[in-house]
Amino acid sequence: MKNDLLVVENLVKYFPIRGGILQRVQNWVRAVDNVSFTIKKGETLGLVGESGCGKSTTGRTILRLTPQTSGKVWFDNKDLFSLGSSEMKKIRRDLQIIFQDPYSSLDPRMIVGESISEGLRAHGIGTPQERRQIVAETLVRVGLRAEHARRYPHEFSGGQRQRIGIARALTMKPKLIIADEPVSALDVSIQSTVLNLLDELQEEMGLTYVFIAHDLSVVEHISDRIGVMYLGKIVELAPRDDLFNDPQHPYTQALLSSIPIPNPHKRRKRIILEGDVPSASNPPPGCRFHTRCPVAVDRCRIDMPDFEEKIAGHFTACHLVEKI
Amino acid sequence: MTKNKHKDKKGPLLDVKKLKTYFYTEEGVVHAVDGVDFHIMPGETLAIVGESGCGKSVTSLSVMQLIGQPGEIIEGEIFFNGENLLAKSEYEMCKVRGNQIAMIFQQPSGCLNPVFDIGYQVAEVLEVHQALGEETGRKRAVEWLSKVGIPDAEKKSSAFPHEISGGQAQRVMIAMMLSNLPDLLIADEPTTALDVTIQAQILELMDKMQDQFGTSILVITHDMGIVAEMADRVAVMYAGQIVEQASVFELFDNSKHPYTTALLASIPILGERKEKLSTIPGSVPNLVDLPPACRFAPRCQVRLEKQMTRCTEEMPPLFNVTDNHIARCWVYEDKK
Repeated sequence: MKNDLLVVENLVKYFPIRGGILQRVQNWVRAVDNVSFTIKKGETLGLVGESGCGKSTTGRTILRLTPQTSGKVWFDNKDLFSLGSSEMKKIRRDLQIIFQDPYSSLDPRMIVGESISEGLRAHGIGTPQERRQIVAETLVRVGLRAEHARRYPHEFSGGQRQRIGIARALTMKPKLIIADEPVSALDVSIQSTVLNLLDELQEEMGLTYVFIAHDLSVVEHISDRIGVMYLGKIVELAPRDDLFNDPQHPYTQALLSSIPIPNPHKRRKRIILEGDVPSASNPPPGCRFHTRCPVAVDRCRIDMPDFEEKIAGHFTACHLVEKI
Repeated sequence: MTKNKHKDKKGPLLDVKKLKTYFYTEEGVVHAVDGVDFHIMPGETLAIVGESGCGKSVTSLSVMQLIGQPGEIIEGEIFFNGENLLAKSEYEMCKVRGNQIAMIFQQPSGCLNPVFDIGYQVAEVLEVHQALGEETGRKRAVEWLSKVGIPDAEKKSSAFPHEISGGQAQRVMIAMMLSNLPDLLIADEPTTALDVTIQAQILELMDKMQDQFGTSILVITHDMGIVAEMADRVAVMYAGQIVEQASVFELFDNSKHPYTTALLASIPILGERKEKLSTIPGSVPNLVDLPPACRFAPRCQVRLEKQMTRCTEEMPPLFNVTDNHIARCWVYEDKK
C-alpha cells in the first residue's frame, strides 16, 4: 500500500437505460463491474480490451469525470471519492488525462498556448508571463517549437496535435497520467514517435501511467503490467512478460492469437472466437466469457469466477486455471 | 455461368497501367494517385499498404471508377480480363461493378441501407446481376448468409442493419459481394473498424472464400500484420506512388526502399521487445505542388547517410532490384 500510487478497489460503474413516458430506469449498462488493481509509483499499467469492455470508463471514473456507482479509489493514500470539491480540485493537478482523438480534444477557436495553459489559469499558477514561459518550455519538451503556442489546432498534423495534448497534461506536473488510446488515431510512423516521447517523459519526470488501448502490441511495448478487460471485468492481470509468455485466461489466449503478426513466416493457426461480445446491459450469467469460451464447462455458465492471484503476481478470473 | 473463364488464360486478371487520379480543389491539384502500375493474377492476393493519405483507397476506387467530383482519372489504363475498363460506358461499368469486381469497405454498417432488411439487400444484388426472381433471390441470399457464418440465417435475414453487430455487417457485405462469384474482390480496410477477435473471424472467412471460389483479392490496408497474413504480393504506396513492390516474403525479409524499411522498423511487434521504437522523422508531404523529386527524400535517412543529392532534384523511376522486386529509389540505379 505504501508504494502504491493508485489503488482501485471493487470499482463499479453502471449507466442507466431510461425509457417509457416517465423516463424510468429500465435497465443498467454494466460498463465497469467490480474492477480492482493497484499501480506503483513510476509504473505503467496497460489496460487492454475490445470496444465496449469498459476500459475507458474505468479511466474516466477514476478521475471522477463520471460519478462511480460504488467502489473506492485511493490516490496517494487519499480516498478520491470522499473528497470535497475544493480538495478534489487541488488533487486534480496530479491527475491528468490524454485523450484518443487529437482532433476533437482541442478547442478549434483557442490558440494552442491558451489550451495548454488553461489548467495553469484554472489553478491560479504563476503570472501570465510565467505561464507563457511554462507553455514555451513544455512545447519544446514534447518536440514542438515555442512559437507554436500562437497557432490554432487546425494548423497541426495529427501527431503534432497529440503532442499538444501531452503538453497540456504535462504543464500541471502531474503524478499520474491516464492515457486513453493516445496513439490509436495516428499513423504507424507517427505512433512510434509519440510512444517514444511518452517513454522519455516517464523516465525524466517519474510519471505513472495508466495506458488504455485496444492494440496489444502497443500495450506490450509500453507497459510494465497489463490488465485484460472483457465486458466490464478484468479477466487477467499480470506483469507484461508473464502475460505474454504464459497467458492463463482463455480470452487472453484468444486475443493474443488473433493479432496478425507482421511476419509472413509466422502465419499461424489462430484461436478463432465464435460470435460477438454480448451486450453489457444484459451480460450472461456465470463467467462473462462463457458464451464464446472454447473450453467452458458447466460451472462457468452458473458461477462467476473470482479474480484471484493464481500464481504470484498473476491474477486470473477463471475456474479452469489452477491455483499454484 | 460465363464467369471464371479467364482461369484458362495466363495473363493477369487486373492490369493497371500509369494510373493518375487527381483532385481539383481550391488549394490546387491534389495528386492523389500519381502514375501507379500494378497487376493481379487470377487467384492471387495483392496488398496495397500505406499510411493515411498515400492514395491507396483512391487507387481502388479508381479501379471501380467510383471517383466523384472534384476528382478525375486523368490518365492510365485499367485492363480487367483484357478489356480496358476506362473505355467502358457508365452502363457497361454497372455490369462489372458488384458482378465481376466486388468491393467491401471499412465501415460495413455504413454501407448497408438502414431501411431494408439484410436479406433483401443481399437478394437485390442477385436479382440485378443474375436476373433471379424475388423468391429465388431471397432463398439464395439466405444460403449465402449462412455460408458467411451468420447464425440462424433464415431468421436473421429479416434483421435490419441496426440490429446486427459490426462483424456481422461485414459478413453481410461479404455475402452480398461474393454471391455473384466475382473474379476480383477489392477489400478496402475490411477489418479496420472491427475488434481483433472479430477481425480474426473476418480474415479467416475471406481466406476460406478465396480457397473455395478462387477469387482474386486486392486488399487495401495500413496494417502490416494483415499484409503478412493475407498477401501473396505487396505494393507499398507513399504520397500517391508505389515505392516498392515484391512478394510478401521478399518484402518483409529484404525490404529495399528506405520508407518500407523504416516503416517496418517502427511498428511494435507482439512478442518482440525493443527498448526504443525507431521512428521516421517529419511527416507525409502535402500532395499539392509536389516538387519533381523523390517524395520521401525529406524524411529519408539513407539519403543523409549516403549524402545523395540526386534525390531532391529528380524523381527516381522504379528500378528492378531483383526479379519481381522493384523499388523507387536512386540507391538502386546501377541495377536498372
